[in-house]
Amino acid sequence: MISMRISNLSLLCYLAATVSAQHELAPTASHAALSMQVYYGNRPRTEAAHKVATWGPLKVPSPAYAFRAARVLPIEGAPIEHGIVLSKDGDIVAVGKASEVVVPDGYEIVDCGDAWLFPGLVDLHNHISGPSQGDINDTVHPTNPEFRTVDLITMDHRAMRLALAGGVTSALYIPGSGSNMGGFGTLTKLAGRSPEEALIRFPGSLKIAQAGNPERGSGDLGAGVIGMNQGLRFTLQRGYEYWKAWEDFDQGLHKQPEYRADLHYLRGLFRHEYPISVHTQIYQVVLQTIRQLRLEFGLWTFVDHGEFDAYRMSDFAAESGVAIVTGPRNYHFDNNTCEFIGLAAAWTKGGQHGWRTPVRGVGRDGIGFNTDSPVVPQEQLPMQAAIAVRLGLADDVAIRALTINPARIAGIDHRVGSLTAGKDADLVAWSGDPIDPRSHVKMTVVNGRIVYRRNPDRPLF
Amino acid sequence: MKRFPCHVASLVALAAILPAQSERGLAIVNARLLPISGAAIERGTLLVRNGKIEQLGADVVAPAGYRVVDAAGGTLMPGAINAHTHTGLVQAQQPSEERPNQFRRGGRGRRGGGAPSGPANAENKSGDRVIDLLYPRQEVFGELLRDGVTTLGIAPLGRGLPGQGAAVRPRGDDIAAMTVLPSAFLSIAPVADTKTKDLIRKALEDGKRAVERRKRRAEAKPQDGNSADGKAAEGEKKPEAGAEASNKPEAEKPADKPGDKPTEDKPGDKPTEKPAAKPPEGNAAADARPQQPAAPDPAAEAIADLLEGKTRGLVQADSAMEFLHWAEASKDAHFPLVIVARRHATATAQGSLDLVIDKLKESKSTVLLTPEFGTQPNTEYQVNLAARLHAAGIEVGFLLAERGRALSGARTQLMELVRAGLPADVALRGITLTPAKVLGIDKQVGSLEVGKAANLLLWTADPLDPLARLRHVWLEGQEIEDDTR
Amino acid sequence: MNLRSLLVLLFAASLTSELVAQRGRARGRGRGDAPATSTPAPAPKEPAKVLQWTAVVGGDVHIGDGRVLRGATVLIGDDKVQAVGHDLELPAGTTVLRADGKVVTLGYVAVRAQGIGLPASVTGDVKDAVNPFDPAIKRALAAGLTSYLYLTGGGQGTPSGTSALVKLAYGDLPAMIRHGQCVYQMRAPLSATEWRRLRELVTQAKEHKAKVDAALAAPGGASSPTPGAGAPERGATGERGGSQGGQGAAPRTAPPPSAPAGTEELLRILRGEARLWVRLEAGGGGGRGGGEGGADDRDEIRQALQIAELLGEGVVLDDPTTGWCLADEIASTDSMVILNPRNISAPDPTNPDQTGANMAAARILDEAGVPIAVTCPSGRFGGAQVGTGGIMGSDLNTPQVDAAFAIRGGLDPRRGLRTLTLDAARVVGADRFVGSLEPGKDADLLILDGDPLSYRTFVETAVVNGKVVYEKAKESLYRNLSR
Repeated sequence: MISMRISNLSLLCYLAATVSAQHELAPTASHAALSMQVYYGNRPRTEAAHKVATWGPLKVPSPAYAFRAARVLPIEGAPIEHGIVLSKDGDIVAVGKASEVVVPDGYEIVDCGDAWLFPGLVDLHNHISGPSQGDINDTVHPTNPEFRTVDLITMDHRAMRLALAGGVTSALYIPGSGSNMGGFGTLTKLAGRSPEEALIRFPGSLKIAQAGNPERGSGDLGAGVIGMNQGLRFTLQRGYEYWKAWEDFDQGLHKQPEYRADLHYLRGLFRHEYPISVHTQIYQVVLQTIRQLRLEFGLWTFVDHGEFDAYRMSDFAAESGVAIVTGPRNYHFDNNTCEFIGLAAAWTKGGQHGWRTPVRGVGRDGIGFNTDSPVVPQEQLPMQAAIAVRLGLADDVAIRALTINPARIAGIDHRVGSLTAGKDADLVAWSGDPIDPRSHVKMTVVNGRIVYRRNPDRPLF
Repeated sequence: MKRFPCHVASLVALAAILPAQSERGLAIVNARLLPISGAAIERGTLLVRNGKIEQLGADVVAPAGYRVVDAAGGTLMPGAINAHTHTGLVQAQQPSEERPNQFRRGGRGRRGGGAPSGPANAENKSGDRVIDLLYPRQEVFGELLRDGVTTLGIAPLGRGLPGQGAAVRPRGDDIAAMTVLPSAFLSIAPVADTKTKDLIRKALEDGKRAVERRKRRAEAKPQDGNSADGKAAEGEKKPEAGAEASNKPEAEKPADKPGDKPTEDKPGDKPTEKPAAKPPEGNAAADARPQQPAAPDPAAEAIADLLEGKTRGLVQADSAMEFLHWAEASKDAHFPLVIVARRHATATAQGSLDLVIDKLKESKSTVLLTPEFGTQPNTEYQVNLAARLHAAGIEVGFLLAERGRALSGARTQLMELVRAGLPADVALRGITLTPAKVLGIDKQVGSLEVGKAANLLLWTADPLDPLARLRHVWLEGQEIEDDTR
Repeated sequence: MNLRSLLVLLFAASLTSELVAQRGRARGRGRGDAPATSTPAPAPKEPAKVLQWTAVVGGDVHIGDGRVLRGATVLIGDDKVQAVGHDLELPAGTTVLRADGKVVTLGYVAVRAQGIGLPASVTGDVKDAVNPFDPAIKRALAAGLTSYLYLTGGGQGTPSGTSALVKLAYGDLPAMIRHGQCVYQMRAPLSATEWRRLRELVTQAKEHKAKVDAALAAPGGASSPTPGAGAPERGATGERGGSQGGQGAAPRTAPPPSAPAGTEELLRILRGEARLWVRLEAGGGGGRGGGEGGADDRDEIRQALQIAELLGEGVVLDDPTTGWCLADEIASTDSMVILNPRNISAPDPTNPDQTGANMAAARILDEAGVPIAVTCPSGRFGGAQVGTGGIMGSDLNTPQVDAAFAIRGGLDPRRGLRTLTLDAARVVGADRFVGSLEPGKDADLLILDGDPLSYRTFVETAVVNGKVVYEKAKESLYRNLSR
């Protein structure tokens, strides 16, 4: 019976996908064609059209600044030598050559000297946001869609200050992998006068953990992989029905459904308002993730970790519109050939991948990095890029994988991920190449306000 | 063909052990003969009489009265030899840490993945003979014999210097009947551990002192033949001679005293052959005084035999690392060396033995190894260790399984090694003549030569042909029946 | 020996003095800075004895103090550095390793490492348990490590433990343990009883040492005691072939007086044959939770420095949290610090200038004249190993990244390489053998494809004891990758 319903559901979602129009949330692509199109389903076209998700405030009041620096790396667009970035009321007003951009009256000039200006970095897998860490793996039921991290966000947390000192300005705080459906994560800025002001979007994602970690609870019913798959389907099916009931109510076909706290945010998945971020690794498990969540349920999905030999699924991921947020291990040691394989490079480029004929990769736009903080502290996010480059990833892809790619993968690229007029003024002045661990952050700006300045005597990071 | 006088002696000796030997000769005709020691004879006849190969060749004609077996073009080769096995030793004779878990009681077994407690148990038992621990009539001997294994080198269990190994035939109602050579080799099982290495160092030093004592005695005798000291030297001659005799192949022993053999094989007999208890062994200064000769230490004497080249040392070393630790512990000690690599295929994280190929060559070692591929560490790239060692000029022999269809299993593995580059003749020599040399019995077994024991395997085709089937097994001319074959 | 090779040696000698003359230090007792501290550097080997000459030619040689000799040559005689410089004439038959366009540095010394050629625990002497074919050795060489400190046990109220400087001489069993018992370990703080016991032992040890020294100084006195005389027989392999002592070289006229019980380790520390590490029980990291930590181990550090004062020998502080606040005190005792630059912890908000660990620690300590050795973070997924399942960047697969983080915190980039070479060698009590490009020291070299401290740099060739033991192009590990 369930399988019958699922197939109807799948069909519906495929149809929805094919008729989905241009996404107004996506900025106009000024660069070359995407290497991989992220699958968003029928995502609402504007923030206002979101019914379930809550978006953080826009145009948070901030001083008018003109940041001048030796080098500006806007990501979307070529590097600018002797550049300038204007910001006001939380937004970037202009980006260009210092010699060309006219600084209007009232703008305070912040001279960053020989620094490199770079967008704030985005970490899509992070567990440190509140006063405790013990609750990230809470498990009450086999699946826990009733959990959410949004209530835990504590501003001015030391971990956040460290992250700002590491150039990270946005993070997706997600529950751990205690159960295979850990709950809903929150996309937030790492600075703000209140959690509400810092919020980017809640839910940021639904956290699902496939195989491995959630099996730690073995002994309970359904803690094996086969049981977990059933548990996921069962819970998602209930979410689907709940969403359908609300859709029917909205169209006047049905009386108002009873509010269900445990199913409420599952509705947003079927409206494609936010993705599922899936802790998944090892190629069989990633295969299962893509088939089950992305294709069978038609949901907006991305892969977290993607470690071990999961990169062998690079073609399937690319074709399914499932992007990869890899880390923090960043390499696979191939025990057939005794070779170190860089995960980000392998996912991006595709290739022979061992036993298969060469397959395509997820390309320049399908890859991001995560820290899984506290596994690797979030301020060390750029080190993920450093190791990925060491192990074969192209520099330009590594820089995108810290900024615009995770923003696009999480659906917040209209706000963050590049130095583009109209986006949030999240920018970081680096002493040099942000990927090089020898470089440090001189200054960090979030929503147009300077939130970190390095004290050379006591640098935070 | 050149004959050695000892062959006559061994013929008589074997005749004495095998009273059931048929007087009627056997002629295997129409066979492809693989002598191992020489070129194949594509179509020929082999004659057996009194358990020995009487004649073989293309032009040999079966004499009248001989029982004739028509090989029908099948291949005849010598019986297989496994020169290093623990077959027939019971587990209670194994050091406790090597025993399976069920032998541990009361939860005293080691928990977790700690290092084996072997080093603590490493002992110098070089004076012990495994032949004294063996008991005949075990089913496993029959299994092996029916599969074509006609000689075994039984190695004592244990770590360090566990004792002297024996060459036996897997048949016989008592130890005497099974014995081919009671002290065929000295078994050495080193461990990369200070305690074990020190044990080996000390044992070799003791052995060297024993050699020097022997030399002094040998020198003292002609010089001071009439002096009072000469008596003491004379008195010590006997044990030395006895020790030498016990290490000579059976065939070289006086054939007119068949009664000697059972006596020799009795446990504890060997020490009593030596003079009665003497004052305890002193230091070097005390040794110099001929009136106080040291009591012979059976362990030191066994190692002295080794150092004098009278026997061979079979050293278990699965990896380059283990070989180097052994070489370091035994440096300056030179003797006929055989490296036994029972687990080389899984020990590659300690370096495959071919990484020390130069040192192996330098030591003139023969290497006995399981007919398996190893893999390069952290990879699945195969290493044909046998082929690499052979290519470097090192003599290789192969170890067979402890029980069951040992030769059948090895044959399949050898085919793989041959397909991957090991010459076929090396593969077959490695289960016949090479292990015979290792055991010091290559004048009696290991090839098809006139005068050697008629240990014969008749295959329906070349033994390395996957379709070949073993038709007949003869042990010293006697056919081994096998209903399952 | 011809005239040209003599000139080579003269040049080498002048270079050595340059190396010794480093940045001025206000503090220390004049022995905190020279590469060879407690013992003089061994004299260059007699060239006549050299059997095999090897030369690394044409590379930009980072000599360790930030200076680079462009297109220079490192000449190696057997297993020792013979000379470094330009236009060296190579003896006939020299094996030449071309390094044109490449960077040449010393091999790195890991002060904390495990699982490389040795099991976690060894009974007996480590040299009898070494696996010179461990695949981890190749991974360590690929990471630039050419030696490391093996250390187990210790950490009690008096110096103890088993240690050895392990050379990553792949395949060369006897060469792998260079120096046994180069480090002992104890802890701080100590109880009153432990202090009393330590003071007693140190007094006894010093008296004994004075007696032996006097006997040596006397004309026709006792022959020099062998290094490690009185040290436990097992575990103390003792250096081989070094200039120190030379076991049994001089005929012994009278046996040296035997050391009082329990002072063996202290005597070796006092003679400069071993380094003392002090583990700070209350120190180290500090939680990464939300609260302001206030991690403060100043009392433990001061106790450790008191031990140094008592001995008159600098000690090694193993990853102190607040070492940076006491940099001058540490420097004044000739003590040294092991540092993980990323091991930061929150200060006590009420006393932010004297608590917590911060990124500036490496710079502050270095400027005060304290030698620092960097290590990688410890943890579940990384840790001090060249594993195949950890987190790259948080393990020993990229030692340069740890030095890079020290530079991020403000350490002079020219002094970054020292944290992996010379200062690391001093911390593990092996600077007599490794850690600098001085004639007579071990020829442990790397040919790199770029800047030594860049995250993207690979080791192309690793040389240990003058022998090539790793070549990137020939080993599968990183063969598939290029810079």
